[in-house]
Amino acid sequence: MNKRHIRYLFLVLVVAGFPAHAAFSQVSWTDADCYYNGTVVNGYASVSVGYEMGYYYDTSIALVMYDPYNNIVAAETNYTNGYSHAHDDVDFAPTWSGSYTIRVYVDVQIYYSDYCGWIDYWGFSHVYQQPVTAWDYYELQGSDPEYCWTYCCMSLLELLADDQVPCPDISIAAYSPDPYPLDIENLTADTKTALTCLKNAVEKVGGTLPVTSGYRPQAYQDHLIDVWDKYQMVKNWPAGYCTSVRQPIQTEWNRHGLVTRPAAESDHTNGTAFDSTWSLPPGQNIDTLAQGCSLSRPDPSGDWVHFKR
Amino acid sequence: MRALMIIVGLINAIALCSQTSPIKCINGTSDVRITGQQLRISPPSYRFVVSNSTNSPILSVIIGEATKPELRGSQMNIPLRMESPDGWTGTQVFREESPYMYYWWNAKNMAKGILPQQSSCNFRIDLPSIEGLKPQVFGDGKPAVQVDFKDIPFRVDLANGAIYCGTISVDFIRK
Repeated sequence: MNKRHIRYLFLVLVVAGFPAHAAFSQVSWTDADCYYNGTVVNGYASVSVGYEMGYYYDTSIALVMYDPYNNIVAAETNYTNGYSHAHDDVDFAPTWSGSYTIRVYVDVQIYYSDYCGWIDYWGFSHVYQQPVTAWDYYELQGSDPEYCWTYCCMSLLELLADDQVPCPDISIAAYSPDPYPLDIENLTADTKTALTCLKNAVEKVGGTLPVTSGYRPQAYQDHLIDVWDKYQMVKNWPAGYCTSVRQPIQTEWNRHGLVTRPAAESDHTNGTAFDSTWSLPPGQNIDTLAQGCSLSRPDPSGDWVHFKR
Repeated sequence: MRALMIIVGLINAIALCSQTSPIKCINGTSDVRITGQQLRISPPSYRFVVSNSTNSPILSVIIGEATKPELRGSQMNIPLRMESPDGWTGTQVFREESPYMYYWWNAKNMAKGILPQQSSCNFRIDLPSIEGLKPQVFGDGKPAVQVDFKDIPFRVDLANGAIYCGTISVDFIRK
């Protein structure tokens, strides 16, 4: 065993007295680093599990893929038994693209072994075009030499952090000028008139109404969506991992101050809305002033700076 | 039976392992410090010193939020001018769909970052005067006040991907 490839993650938690063939439900799992974010393009995940010193064994592997909101989008389990130097593979081909999390759960039970040893996990290849050659190492647990068992919640991210692994190909298409400057001119004529009306009304009562966003080209809106999506993929990467990929995305994220995923179609792209903060003397109400200018705030509890004609 | 075990186990594992990890912001350390100096009372002007005691260059500095937005994007907080160290650019960023903003400086490239064990002091913000301005309230009814940067949160991005957060201390001009 090459120790350079050994990572003592010790993600294995066991329950004393865990009975033979009991279900996972009695096991405490560690969640540390148990996720990987990347891009699904095409391909499949292949996980091989084997041991090199034991005897007869049972192995179950579960791969579960989640979308960014932790919904399960794909899952696969496999079960085999046999003798030493065997392995299991679990393959599945995703049919979607975007940010994902993948977790691997492994249940290995070895029978009639002389002692509780170790298991190598190898062959994490073809993980979404990011071949992994690292090895991981898990201690087997259990006091009964005839029945060793282990449960793992393993992090592909840790594997992918290996120097030998190429970084994911994630980037944001450039947009120029970025950010798109405040554009009042390309609002519709009615919206421009309404905006002027509201500014005058606010100033008349002694308030201020700085406009922060006006018309946006659809390509810029698409750029904002791209920034949101790509940032979701990299935001949980640990420090030091593929910084050449992450840093430009982090810069774009800082540049745009996004709060939610921008809508694919926006009032801004058709020129009928603008964003503005405001401050007013006590007793004045922005919605009353807006109404007098044929404007409204469609979502005052959410997108509350958004004024629509 | 075996299949049932796997399904039960899978469901349980999903429940226990499905928590998302929050963005890691290293907080409460003195490894990255930002101190402000009030240069002028009116119109207000502030200069900030960013000190890096980490082992990685600082490439980005945000003042006004750490893990959540705290700086109001009102007219009185929109800078008349922002100065930046050589090789950096500074601007205000209005948070989408919210009344908040932050001040953001970004190094143009890795070489311009604030290196470990070094400081940079040319971060400056000039704000508009509020003399003679009548009392105002924000949309949520809270009094509209101009930022003085005392205890305002900051966030910096390091070249290694780490993010540090903290709050600013300010030396004010004695009135």
